[in-house]
Parts: sequence; structure tokens; C-alpha cells
Amino acid sequence: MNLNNNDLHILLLTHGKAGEALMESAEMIAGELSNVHALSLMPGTSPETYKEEVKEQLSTFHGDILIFCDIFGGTPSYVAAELATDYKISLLSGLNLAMLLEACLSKTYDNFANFVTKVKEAGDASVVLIQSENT
Amino acid sequence: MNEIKLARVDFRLMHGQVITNWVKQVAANHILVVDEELEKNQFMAQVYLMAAPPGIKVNILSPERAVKNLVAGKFSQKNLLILFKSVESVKETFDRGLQLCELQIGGLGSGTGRVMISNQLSLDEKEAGLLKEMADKGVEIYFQAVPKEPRIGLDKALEKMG
Repeated sequence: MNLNNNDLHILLLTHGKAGEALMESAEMIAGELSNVHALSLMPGTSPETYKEEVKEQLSTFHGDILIFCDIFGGTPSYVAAELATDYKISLLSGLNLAMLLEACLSKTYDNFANFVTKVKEAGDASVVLIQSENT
Repeated sequence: MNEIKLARVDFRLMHGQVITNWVKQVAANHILVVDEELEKNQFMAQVYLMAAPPGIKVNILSPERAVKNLVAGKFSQKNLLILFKSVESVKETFDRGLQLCELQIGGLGSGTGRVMISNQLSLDEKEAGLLKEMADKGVEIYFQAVPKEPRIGLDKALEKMG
């Protein structure tokens, strides 16, 4: 199911299988998400090989592309940034469930750049110090 | 070139937590990334600059310009961490006049024809030859991905190459 009425593709790039796992978590809440894909950078995979995998995935997308990577400064973030010169993509780091759900559950948007900003804000707002024990 | 606190080869260059760790370990306050391609690619250079550890200044220079600046003493007041993407790149810089006491190999990628030196680090024949040339000229070369792992000397690594 693609909840979003725009032609939006979401790609999760993570160290190890965090992206695949987070996708499953999101589907627990939002139902099946046919427009979300995950590519895991596994130990021993070179950045060049990973870049080819990402390119291959990107070439199957037609429409708006939003890439999430796990941590800024890690290989997935650099690989995606390098591809930003050849592909029209928006790229966010700090992937978390709140951001992913915001991106998946937004039914429609007029402006893709504003939509991406809103998704980032959902991520920022999701980090909450719920309790700090005073000892 | 006493300002060089650490010279490291890492195919990921300025790689998040790993570099933050080494910066603390050697008390560096300035990073010099030596890379011909990155010096020319403004967009990627900008991305790497954004990823710098807080409070750390970064310069990205080609091997030629890096040596020129070092020889001119441009970094003499700094505690410098120098990063190279590949053994070829550090060898080129060395041949142009970079003076090194020690060189740390922190990541060389993966692929076929490579021999594992530790569970994270591998080496191929060509790299081994270039490193040996540098070692013969007095550079102490060792393999170490993260600070908490022990160093593996080049001799030990070359034994594994057989």
C-alpha cells in the first residue's frame, strides 16, 4: 500500500540491517509500505559496491525520492551525498521511526521540499528527555 | 613536521565516530584531508566539512598543496591529524616530501585478492609493496582501526601476506 498520493519513493540506508528492521516496525503501525525500500551496508561491503546497489535501486524510482541514512558522517550518508549530484534526491540523516512514519503517513503534499522539512521537524521533535533522574 | 600527531589511511576519510575517537586520543585540533579528487569536488568537500567533529577545523588539499603548506609551516602551531583515502595517496604525498615518523593504516576497503590482517583490516600486494618502500625509508607503519585495538606492525602484516 502506498499511503501517499504523490509519487514518493523512500529509501533507507543504514549500517547493517537497521533500515530493514525499522521498515518492519513502521509497517506494524502503518500497514504494508510498498514505497519504502531499505539497503543494508553489511560488514565487508565496499563503499563502491554499496554505491552501485543504491544506484540500481534509484534507477527503478520515478517521482520524488527521499533518502534516509542512519548517521551523518557514516558511509551510507557519503554514498548518498555523492549520488545527489547525479540524481534528484532529498537526503536526511538521523533516521528514526518518528520521521519514517511522518514521511509514510502524510497523505499528500504540494511542495516536496516543504514536505521534507516537515519530516525533519518530526524527527527533531521526537527526541524528548522524558525523565532525568535527579540524584 | 612535528605538528603531525597522527597520520592515518582510511578509505572512509572523515568517518563519524571513528574520527572523533582518534581526535580525542591524540588531542588533535585540526584535520588535514589529503585527497586530489575531494579538493576538486566542492559539493562533497562541503559535506565532509559538515561532518567534522565539533570545534575541529578541517582543510582539504591535494598531495601537492598539502606538502607545500606543511613545508611552509602553515600548520606549525596546530595539533594535526592527517587523513588519506588510500595507500597510493599517502605514498604520493610522501614522495612529494611529506615527513612521517609513523603511519596508521585504519581502513583499506575490501575486495578480491586481499589478505585479512585483522578482523577489520585487509591488504593487497600492491599496497604492501608501497608500504614496504615507506618503511624502508624509516616510517613506522602499523595497522589499527580503533584506539581500543592493539597495533599490528607492518612486519606482522607482511608475514600474513606470505
